[in-house]
Amino acid sequence: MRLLLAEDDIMLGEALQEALMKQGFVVDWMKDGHSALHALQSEHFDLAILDLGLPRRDGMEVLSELRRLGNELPVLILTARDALDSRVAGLDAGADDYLLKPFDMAELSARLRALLRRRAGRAQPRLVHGDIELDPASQQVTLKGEPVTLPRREYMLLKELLDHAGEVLTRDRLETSLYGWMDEVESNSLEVHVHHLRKKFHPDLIRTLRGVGYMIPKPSLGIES
Amino acid sequence: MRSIRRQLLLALFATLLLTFSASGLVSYFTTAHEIRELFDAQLIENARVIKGVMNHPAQEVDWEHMRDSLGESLNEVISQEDLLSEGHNYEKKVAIQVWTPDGNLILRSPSAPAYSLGPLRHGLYERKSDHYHWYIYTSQMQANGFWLIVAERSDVRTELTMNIAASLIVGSLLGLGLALWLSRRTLNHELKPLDELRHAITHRNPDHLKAIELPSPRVELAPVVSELNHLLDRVTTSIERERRFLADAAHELRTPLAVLKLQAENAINANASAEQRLHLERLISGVDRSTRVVEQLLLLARLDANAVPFTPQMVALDEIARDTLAQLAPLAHARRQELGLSHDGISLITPGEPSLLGALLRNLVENALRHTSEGGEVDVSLYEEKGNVILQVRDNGPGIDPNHLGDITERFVRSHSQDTQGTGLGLAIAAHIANLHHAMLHLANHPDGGLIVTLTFPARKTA
Repeated sequence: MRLLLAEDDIMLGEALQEALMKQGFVVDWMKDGHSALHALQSEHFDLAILDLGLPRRDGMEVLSELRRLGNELPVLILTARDALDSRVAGLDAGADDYLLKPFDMAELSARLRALLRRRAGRAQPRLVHGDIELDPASQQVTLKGEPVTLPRREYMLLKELLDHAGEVLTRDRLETSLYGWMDEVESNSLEVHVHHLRKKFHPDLIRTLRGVGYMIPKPSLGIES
Repeated sequence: MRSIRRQLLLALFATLLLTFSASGLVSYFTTAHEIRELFDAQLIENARVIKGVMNHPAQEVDWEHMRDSLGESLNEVISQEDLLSEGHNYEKKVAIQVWTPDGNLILRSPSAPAYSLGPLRHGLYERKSDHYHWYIYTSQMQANGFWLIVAERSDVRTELTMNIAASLIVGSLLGLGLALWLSRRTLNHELKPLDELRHAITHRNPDHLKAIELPSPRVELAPVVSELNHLLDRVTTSIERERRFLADAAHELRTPLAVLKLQAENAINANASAEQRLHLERLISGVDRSTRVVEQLLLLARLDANAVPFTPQMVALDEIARDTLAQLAPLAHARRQELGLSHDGISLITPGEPSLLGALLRNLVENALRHTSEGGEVDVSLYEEKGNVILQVRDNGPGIDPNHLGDITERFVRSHSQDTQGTGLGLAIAAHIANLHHAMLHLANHPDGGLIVTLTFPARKTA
């Protein structure tokens, strides 16, 4: 995977380059907007990380110029600017995602992989959570290696929650992804599915955030590799 | 407070009053003096004429006849005294007496009293008798040695003097009134630019500091306006500088923190020993804490500098509450705390800025989580009461020392000194954002323990 990193801060650039290389990326590091745009135009990259406050050409300019030229490269914006204003502007200019400094490396690498997957349209990798494994390709779920048969909606609910482990998914969001727009939702069917999943796996697999939604906590807060 | 208008009018009034009084008094005394001189001269002239008629040796004058004719002519005048015809108003009331040198009255006009009007000595006198005030001229006739006394009542002189004085006073009063009325009008008109200036200043605020231009400029006000405009200019510059500084500070502080965090993570990944790993993880949580302080400080500073976009729109508070709680769920989970939202499902709409309301709620809930021990409970409830939207955050932590309840929303005030997680800014930010939304933030200890923070959004006016 070849990645272009445009970051003018030397210390941050070095640290990022090292961390990204450990994640298995080939990193080309550019320190200003002009050379970043030049590199992006003349060579092939799979991914770009753009800092917004770049010298010579602002990150936003590089991005809109890139999009104007029809380059569909996945771009993640890295910004030290405030979340309140630049987020919308960045996404409007054609960024695929953004992250505020300072950030978790785990978070950054998860987002980069998500961007790559989305771009490639590839099937998602197996989701592993403790002794539970879910394979999206075969739609197989195993507990301690033993296959577990799940009805379609319970499978979809488990996959959605595992996909966003550590995040609370609101009831509205889960119901939409489970039933689509047209289906009638029985008021307590979500609770019923959750109840079944807890019974089939672990009683405390899914946590309830009362009044908000559900979450499968991350197994450990360590760093993915 | 002193009023320029009143002071000026008072000074003007005093000056005019003094001037009019002084000139009135001088004119009065001069006039009185001149009238006296004139009348005295006439009295003497009259006496001379009469003396000319009577100045014969005593035996040659028919005193009886003289008295009769004198009485007739003088009576004619005196009888007309009450007719009020213009021509007689100032007729002098004249009395005549002729005395022998040994003090016998041998002739008197009907208007003259029988007693002596004055001493038998040559000269001008003034005398007060039983009824009247007399001006008297006495002289001796050489031919017969008799004394002639011609006297004149003071009425005419006094009346004339009084009339002149009265017209002086009336004129002065009229002049004074006119002058004051005119001055007041002029002053009011000329002070109008002051009102315009006040109006212009009232309409200035940190986001609108355009230079002031008065519709009716005045030379006296020009320096004030120009200095004000300089000040406005400087304020605008310093506000802009502050906002730029805040944006720069955000960038300059976040980047090194990102470097620190990345390097610590890189170090952990570079085959760190268990002990090194522990220290590096502590370093990372230190960086995280610094990051939180920086974010909170920047947000508060931006709120102070009015540098936060504040364009209220209709927002669903329940959605904001769900999002915020979802974001904080990992923190609650890490501390094994029960976090929940009590809401009956009916959307609660209120005007506000979504990102700021999110920051407000986040601060309140984070605060509650941090001050509740592990395994504690934090409940957020959202409901409507009497048209007010009410958001309540309740925890079952230790609450706040009652002595601190009043100042807990001040910056860097913490309820417990052993609190190592809080930045001391959360409630100050919450209070500031609540204030922006005209919402009321109320903190109270629950009788069963724990803190209740209540945020009351004002009832929406029906459009």
